[in-house]
Amino acid sequence: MKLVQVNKHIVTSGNETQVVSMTGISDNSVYMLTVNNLNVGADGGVCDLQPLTSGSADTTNNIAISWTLVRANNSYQNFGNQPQDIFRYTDGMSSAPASLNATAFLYNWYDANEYSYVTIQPAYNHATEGVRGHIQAGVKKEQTSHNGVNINTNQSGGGGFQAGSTFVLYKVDST
Amino acid sequence: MSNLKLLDTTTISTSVANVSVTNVFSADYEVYQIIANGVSTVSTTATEVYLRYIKSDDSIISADYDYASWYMPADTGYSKINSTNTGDATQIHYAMGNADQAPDVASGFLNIYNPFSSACYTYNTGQQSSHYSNPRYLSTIGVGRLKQSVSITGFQFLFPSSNVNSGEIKVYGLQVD
Repeated sequence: MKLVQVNKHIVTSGNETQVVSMTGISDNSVYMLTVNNLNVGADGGVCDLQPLTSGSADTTNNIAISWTLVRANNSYQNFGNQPQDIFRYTDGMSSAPASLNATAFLYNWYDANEYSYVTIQPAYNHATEGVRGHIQAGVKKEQTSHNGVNINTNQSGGGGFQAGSTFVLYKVDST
Repeated sequence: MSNLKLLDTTTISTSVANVSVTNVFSADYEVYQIIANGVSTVSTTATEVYLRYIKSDDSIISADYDYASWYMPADTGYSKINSTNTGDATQIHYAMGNADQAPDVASGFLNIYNPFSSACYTYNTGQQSSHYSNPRYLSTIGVGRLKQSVSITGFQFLFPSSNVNSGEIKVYGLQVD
């Protein structure tokens, strides 16, 4: 597999943020989005993924998802929902040294003739349940060309994503 | 030029109870992918594959792991393999599936996040495909973590029930330009 980096964002001290936007999806290739060491200023809150349409968050309520939530110290949970307007990485953001880490594959995000699909494998911390992961797949049921991603957290402590939080978008290049 | 860089290839060719890959995690990368292919036991006794991490002084970390995986056999119901059920924090269970004598082998991948940084915990995600001879096809998928803020430079796969004598392990780094 050949990966070509198309965008990155590494949060630096003094530039903490609750939203990271990355464009660079420019053809019908599969894209891979890695996030690592995503930590926030206080425990709690969610982290979500949304497509960008012409650089702006596409908040249309037409996403369908299903996941199995695996937990080190609790039972597992299967869940599905539609419609909603986000793909969810986690409902349990944490402060360092814990963090959210994940790899997502984005399928047909640029192609306006097909729906946009995603698979996500995250691993993150929960205060009482240990390591957890929403092993997830979903679809944006919209024939629209998406040129990037938004990654959001509603955790405002410390300004959101803290220094060292790293987001990288790669194209899976078949050439 | 690819941002996916092959860092190490380890070939198992003798009978071993574990295999260590050292000095492979560094400050050059934060996200790694381990791909194991065709891990086969010496005998027809199958073995789970555990994961532990190794520090720069080659000491092996044997505490503070937690994990949660689905054990998904083709022939019967799924089971939870997690910290509560095993009661074992000394290693990550089913990290590379369940190996048996070829052609019943274990293969799969792990993504490893932040191993070298001593400022954050090390996390893993992954999925494996195995077959063992009771007979059972087994898919495993899950997450894990080392809850220590230490710098890790390598890892070890352990085979607790039976030695293995073949298989290949490749380690890649995801370069950030």
